[in-house]
Amino acid sequence: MYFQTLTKVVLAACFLLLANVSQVRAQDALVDFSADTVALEGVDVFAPDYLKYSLGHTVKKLAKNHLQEFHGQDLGAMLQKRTGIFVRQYGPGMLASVTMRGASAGHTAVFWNGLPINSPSLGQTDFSIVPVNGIDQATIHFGGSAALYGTDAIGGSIHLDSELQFNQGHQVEIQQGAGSFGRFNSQVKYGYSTEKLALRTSIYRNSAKNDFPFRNRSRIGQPMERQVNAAVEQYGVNQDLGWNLGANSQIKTSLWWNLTDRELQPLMGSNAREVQKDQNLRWALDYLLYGEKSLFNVKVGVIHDEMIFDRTSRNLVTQYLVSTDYEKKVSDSWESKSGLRYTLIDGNLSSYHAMDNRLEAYHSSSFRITERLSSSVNMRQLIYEGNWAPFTPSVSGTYSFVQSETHHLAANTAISRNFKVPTLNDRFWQPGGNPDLLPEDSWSSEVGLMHNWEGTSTQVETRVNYYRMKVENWIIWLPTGNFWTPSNIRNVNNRGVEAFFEANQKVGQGTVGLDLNYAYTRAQISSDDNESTIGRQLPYTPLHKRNIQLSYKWKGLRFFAAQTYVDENFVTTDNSLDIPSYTLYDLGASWEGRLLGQALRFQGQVHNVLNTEYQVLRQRPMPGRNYNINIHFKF
Amino acid sequence: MKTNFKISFVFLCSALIALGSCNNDAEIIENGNVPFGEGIFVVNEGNTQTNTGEITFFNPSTGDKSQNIFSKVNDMDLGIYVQSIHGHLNKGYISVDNMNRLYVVNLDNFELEGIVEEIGKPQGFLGLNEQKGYVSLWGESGTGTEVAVINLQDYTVSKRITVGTGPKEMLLNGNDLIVLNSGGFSSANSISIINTQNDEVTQTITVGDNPNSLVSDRSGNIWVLCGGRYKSDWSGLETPGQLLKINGSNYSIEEVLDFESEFSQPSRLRINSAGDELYFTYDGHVRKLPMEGELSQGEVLLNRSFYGFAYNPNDGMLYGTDPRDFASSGWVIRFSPEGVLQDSIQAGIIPSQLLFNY
Repeated sequence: MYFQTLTKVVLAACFLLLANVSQVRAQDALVDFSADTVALEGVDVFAPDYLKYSLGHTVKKLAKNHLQEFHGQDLGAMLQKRTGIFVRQYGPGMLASVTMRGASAGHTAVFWNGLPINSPSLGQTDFSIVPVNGIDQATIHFGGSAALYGTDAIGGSIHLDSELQFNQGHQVEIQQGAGSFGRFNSQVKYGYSTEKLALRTSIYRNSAKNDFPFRNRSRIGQPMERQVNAAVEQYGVNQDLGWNLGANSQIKTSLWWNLTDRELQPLMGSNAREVQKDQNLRWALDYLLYGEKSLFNVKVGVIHDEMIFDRTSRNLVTQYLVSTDYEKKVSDSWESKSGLRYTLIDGNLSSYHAMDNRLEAYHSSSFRITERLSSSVNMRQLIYEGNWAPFTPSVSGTYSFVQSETHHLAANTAISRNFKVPTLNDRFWQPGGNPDLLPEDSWSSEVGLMHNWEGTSTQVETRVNYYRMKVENWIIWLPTGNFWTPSNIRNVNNRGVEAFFEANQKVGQGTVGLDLNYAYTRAQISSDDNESTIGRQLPYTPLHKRNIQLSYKWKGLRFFAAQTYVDENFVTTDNSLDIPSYTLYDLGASWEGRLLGQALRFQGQVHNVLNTEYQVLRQRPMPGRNYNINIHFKF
Repeated sequence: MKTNFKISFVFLCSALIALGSCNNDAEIIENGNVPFGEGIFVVNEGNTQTNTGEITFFNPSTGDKSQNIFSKVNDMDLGIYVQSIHGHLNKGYISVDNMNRLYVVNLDNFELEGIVEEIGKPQGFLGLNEQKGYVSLWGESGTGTEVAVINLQDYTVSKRITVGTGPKEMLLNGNDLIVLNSGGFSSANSISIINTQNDEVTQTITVGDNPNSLVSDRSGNIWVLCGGRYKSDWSGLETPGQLLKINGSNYSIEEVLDFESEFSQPSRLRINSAGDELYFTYDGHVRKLPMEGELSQGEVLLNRSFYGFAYNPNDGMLYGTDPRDFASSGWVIRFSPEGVLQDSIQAGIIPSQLLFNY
């Protein structure tokens, strides 16, 4: 009986996944850099396919390797070292915001299990309070994707997901790590799943003293001193559940509570002693009903963010979301999805209280026009508090020049309009909040080439994109009279190149791997009310950023050497003050094997091997050479 | 097929080669080992976006100009939220809020002579003699109530005097030190009188809400400008801005003028060297108020306001600062006493207060 039920669900799920395989397969192989580590045992609880309506866009799943390498650290640290995305880090474990394609920190939409988790009050995500051990999967969508995902997705979007499987029985995982400067991380996971039900609980704790030595430029003679007031302590619980209700329906729910209690690393040499406590509670529930050629989905979610600054200033924001969509395979060459999402935001901040109602309708279609040509069309209209956000369409496509057993060469293109609803702080902060602000409005376009070579002992994946983007009505806070107020005064023109390259070559019994991410980002202010900034590069936006990882894998052993290069970048909007470029090197080794019949994984890493002195943000020291080790047991 | 692969590979390689790295030092424009001393020192506050507070020097009569003189001379950083530089016996006293430090430099060469620590968010300095000076403090919380007495021989705190909330500007009036209790991150409405002989508070006088600046005129009167207080929802002023004329010998309030605006806070009260004309910013203007005749809201002298505003007693010019977008180099702009634009000088990030050292 169970088996029958399961089979049906599997078939239904497979149908939807497979339906697109013909047109997506090749791209999938190119985009999914983790292909070598994916092993599907059993049946996954529903996971969204971020490629399906993004044909022609660059969607990159972060490899499992990388998630393991950064176990116990924050997502910001991982993005900085393993993607072309530049992360503005205030210090290890401190505020970390991203810039994608030269857009602002608030121009990257971030989702956890399909819920938008950018703070509605600040408009962005602090990636230092998103620990890598709280997620199973990270997918990055490069470039504007507001038609698909809604507000904020101007420079790109980042999707974090839980992965859960049926039919695994009992599973226990224990991880323990330790590192330099008082770093410890522990995690215990317990999972139990049958054909019908999958349950998993995970509890973790990450902490660091961050008392690393640095050269104190605020003292005569610039002595080496140890960082003070930078300790971080983080706890969290994840609870995931998947339940096959019947032959063709499934419930999937995830809960994530994360607490980060930290001292705020002061500006170099300052004896300021500020602290901040963040609590984030997120809950998502999906109901999925599979039809013969359709999928009906209802999603409910709550996101509760609490930030207490210096023990006194309390900021609470709660988002309630309900969305529903209906996906249908209209014909062999046309799949579509249409939906509605309603969001209620209740902001109770230190200086104001505000509610925001948002309703959005969206539609996505993917077409296989010919054997070689596929296209996606997306559109979305959002209304917030009676204001119409820009209507955002996107059209994209991919054309395969060559499709053979071993080679696939395709050209991609995309054009899209994207937007960001002004944040609650922008609209309601007292004093100064400006309720009349317009949404930030952006157009972007891109062309790209991708090539995939699957030889017998060689795999090479290459992808190069060129994009252009303009953002209008960019919101800037400036003093007017007696207090600061935001207005839509800036326009920014961006253009750039992204390159992704991954090669694996079998050498004897081992495999040599090369993984490269490179971003060239030109982000220029095109109009402003300050003439000395026109034509200048946006602050903290390096022109070049590059990551290279060279690895060697032999049986259960893996070694890697990684390099991160960040170009000189500017501190000021008139580019009068800059931060020098820097190159960092990391080394790592891991061993996977069996001990007493149980799976064991051991890894050790050296970060910043050359002990390079560098700053990501001016006068925010970063650690020199540091070490960490991790042990992972699985029963 | 192979060709295509090669093309993408070549493209990639050439992109990599293009990554020339420039290793410039993180310093701003201009050079110059110009002698300092006589001239104007401009405080560039800096903020958390730029993490760069600095001092600009220029001498309008010679045209000498130098940026970032603190880090250039001392090879160390000043910190941010630089509040003020005050001169005393040829030394400059720089209050740096975020560093909780008062730096002491020689004004001739700008070399660091000492650092006063264990003071929370210093705002301003006033030197009494060779032995003693005073620093107004906002404290860790920003609502502190202390003025610290500084021993100028060894740069230590010798005494802490409790005044009102958020002391800021100070003025010497004979043997008395007048301290404006500006409210800090909160609100206040008094001035404290400290006897500099024994460093005790002798009087606390209630004035308007949020006093922000004060001057003394040629007849010995003390003029205090109060910004007024905003309503709790910031929709306008609950109490208006006020200008008070205070008797300099017994501190009785002789005249009070209420400003009319429900939104604008008058601020930055300055006086000319003759001591008979007041200047201040109000309602988007710089205004001038001759002391003869009745108190009024003054006449509009300049049709713009400034972030920092000062009167140079040496050349009689008015100096306004424009921090632009608060994230790039700002400007100092000079006007004649009649309000005619003279010239402008590029400064650092968020120029605010000026020290006229003559």
